[in-house]
Amino acid sequence: MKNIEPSNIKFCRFLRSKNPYGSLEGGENEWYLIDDANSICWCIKATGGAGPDNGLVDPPLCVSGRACYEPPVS
Amino acid sequence: MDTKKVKFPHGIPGHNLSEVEREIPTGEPPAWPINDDLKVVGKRVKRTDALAKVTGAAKYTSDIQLQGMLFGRMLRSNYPHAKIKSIDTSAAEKYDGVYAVHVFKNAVGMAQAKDGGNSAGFPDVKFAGQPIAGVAAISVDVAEEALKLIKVDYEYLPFVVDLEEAQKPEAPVVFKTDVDQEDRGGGGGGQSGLKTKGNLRGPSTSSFFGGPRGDVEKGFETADFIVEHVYRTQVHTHCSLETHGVVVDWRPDNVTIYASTQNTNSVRHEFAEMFDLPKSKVRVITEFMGGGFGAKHSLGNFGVMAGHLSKKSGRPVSMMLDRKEEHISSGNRPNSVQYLKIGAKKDGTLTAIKQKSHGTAGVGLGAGVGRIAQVMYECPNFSTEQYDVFTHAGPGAAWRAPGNVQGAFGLEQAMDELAEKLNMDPLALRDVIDKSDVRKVERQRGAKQFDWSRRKKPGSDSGTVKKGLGMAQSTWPRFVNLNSTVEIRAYKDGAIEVRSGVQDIGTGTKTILAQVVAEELGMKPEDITIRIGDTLFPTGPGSGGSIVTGSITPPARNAAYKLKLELFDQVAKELETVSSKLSMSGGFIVSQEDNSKKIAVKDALKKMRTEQITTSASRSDDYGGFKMGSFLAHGDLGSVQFAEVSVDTETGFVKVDKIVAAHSCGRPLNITQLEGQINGGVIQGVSYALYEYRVMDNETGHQMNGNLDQYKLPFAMEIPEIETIIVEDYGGRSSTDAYGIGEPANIATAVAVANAVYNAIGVRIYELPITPDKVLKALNKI
Repeated sequence: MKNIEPSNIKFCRFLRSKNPYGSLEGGENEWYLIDDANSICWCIKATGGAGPDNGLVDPPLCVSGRACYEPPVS
Repeated sequence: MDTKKVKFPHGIPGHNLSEVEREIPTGEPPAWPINDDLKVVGKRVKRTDALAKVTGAAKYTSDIQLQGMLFGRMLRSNYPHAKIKSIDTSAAEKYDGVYAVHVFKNAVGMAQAKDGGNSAGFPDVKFAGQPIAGVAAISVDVAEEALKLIKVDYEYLPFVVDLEEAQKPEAPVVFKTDVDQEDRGGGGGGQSGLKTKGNLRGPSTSSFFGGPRGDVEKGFETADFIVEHVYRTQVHTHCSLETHGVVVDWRPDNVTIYASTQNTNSVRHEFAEMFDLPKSKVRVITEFMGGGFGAKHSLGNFGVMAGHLSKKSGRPVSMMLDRKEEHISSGNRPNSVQYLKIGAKKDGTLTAIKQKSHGTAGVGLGAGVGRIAQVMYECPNFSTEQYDVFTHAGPGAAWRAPGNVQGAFGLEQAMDELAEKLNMDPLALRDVIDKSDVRKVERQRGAKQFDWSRRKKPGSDSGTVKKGLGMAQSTWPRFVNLNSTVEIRAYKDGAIEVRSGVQDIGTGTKTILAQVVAEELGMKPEDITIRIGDTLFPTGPGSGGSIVTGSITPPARNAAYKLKLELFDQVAKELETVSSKLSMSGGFIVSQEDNSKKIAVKDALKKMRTEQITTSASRSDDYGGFKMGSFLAHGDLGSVQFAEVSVDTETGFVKVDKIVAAHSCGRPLNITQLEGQINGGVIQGVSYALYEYRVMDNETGHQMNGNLDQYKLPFAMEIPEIETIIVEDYGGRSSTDAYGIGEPANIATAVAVANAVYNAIGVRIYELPITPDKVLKALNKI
């Protein structure tokens, strides 16, 4: 089993994910993206699985360039 | 950091118990011996809040009554897919008793929306039951009457709620995101470049457990036997005793949220982010909670709505979902259609596993089938392809071992079938392919207690009602959340108080914290006051992934140890010794040099130089390090479950007569509570196996059984006899060496029942739930 490092992608500050092993990713927590088939994602601004632009909330989509994207607070 | 070397018990008593030396931080306590030699830990300690719960004194979120409190209700779309052209709330706003109305709006306009959007900025409706607006009024009835006055002008759009239909090229698309994503770049354990096309997202072929290995096709070429089937599981909706809900009390200087949540910290953070408040001005309280199985980690749209309504009205707002809302919108366990092919040599050695799955979490993600097929058995060649299929249905949510329960249903039925092909006992096959020591012990002890030798050939029982025996097993990783802190206060009046933000979702976290601290301080659990579930206290972990016990009990013990040392320091002179020569037991501090020199802890506290002593500790790294990152611990929370069923071959009804559930969780802390959790997991597993499933109407897009009348849960008569076996499994990884049991208790049950049904009738049923019609169909009787 290889070790993993937190993702260095600056995902939207309003993106959250709960992985199947109980850990939250996003916000104050680092992004490990440990399991993309079994994690739940939501936008806290739009309060669900669809973003403020009606598009899918998914880490690879919630990045700079999307209309509703906001960078994380550093 | 200064460290010291300490020897810890290691292994399984009665099997391979030995010792292991670990290097641990100097400030942490010495190793506890195994449970036999402890006074409080590992014993059947009564719940500290038992009396409060059975007398009704315990106040849950739905019990909260604040002065001037309003009641919130939300208007939900009656259509599964629509654009909202306009919303008129004027009549509702004027309705007598209404104090606030709020409409959900999006932050971006038409030009920026993925699928056209609208000029008013209303979110597109993507499932029947999606909240649109909310009202706060003097009563629930008034709020519901006011909702009827809100006029919504919809533009109806075609929709799809069926998993198979949604995959067809002509199916209405839920998300217009026809994108081939770029690589995610550095870090992260998931794969890069996952695609979304139409309603299909995937395939996901890897996770932090790694990706495909070997060459599956070559593996199948070398196999002597192959099992190949498609397995189907249903959508399973959350039915916690307490529904989702909050009371938000927005005051000028701070906001207090009473929440039925599995994660006080994340609710605080989300609320602060959402409303642009500093976290210090948001307090979340979960004193008692009526259960949660994974869907209660976020603030939720109901929490956001309650926040807006409280802010607008200047009054506290209670927003509790009703049972229908719970079914249609608060999350569910996604369904699955799993293709599974397994190859094996004559001796049982696996040569290849190939898995492909499709599932729908409605308008959300997370419909995979977990990684159990990848990690539980040794197999050199493995591949998986897991797809999300979007439908216009309520969102999925985490659900007690997300994905793994679905995945186990396929994997463990396939193993049962493979054993039969190999002419091996299912337990003997596991002995060949499963390298887990703890599951080996669980198989042995479980088989003995269950009397597995009674098992007959499939379908060989005589009579109309046929008995069958089956088994299945599971694996679950040990996860740890280092952001877990406990503070302990000792007061002059003798009170000892434990404080942490961690919530007790009903599993008994308060009691195990009292036990751990009592054991360390040589006191009784009832002498310890537990104050948790409040973000005013140090941050605790969320209750998910069976993570709490392993995360919060080590800092609790470590903080108690610090407190003990400080007390020793204060009384050593009086006892004419040095603090290192003192010990604490039976409510006394005793000199190890002369045990006649002692002082009651309560008297020692009275002599403190200050009114109180406060110590705190945070979760330290696992002794000996983690398996991965700073979250995945070594070891396995394995389980083996045995099921006995009776199948009426005339009516098709299945009755689960008995389950023997053998489990491990490191060092068990409270046997009664562990049994309680295992009982709960088994009952939920039986319910998943036989009863519960969401029925959608393809014509209207509505759930047809969004209630507890037609959405069947088991009653007392349908709950089997449950026997538990708890295997102590010491690893010396933390000061308590304890882990949770929530997830593992639920994974193997349904498939153990399915294997028992096969053993009873001799015909395998590949789809959950195993309802009478499926049994009769399998028997060619309908």
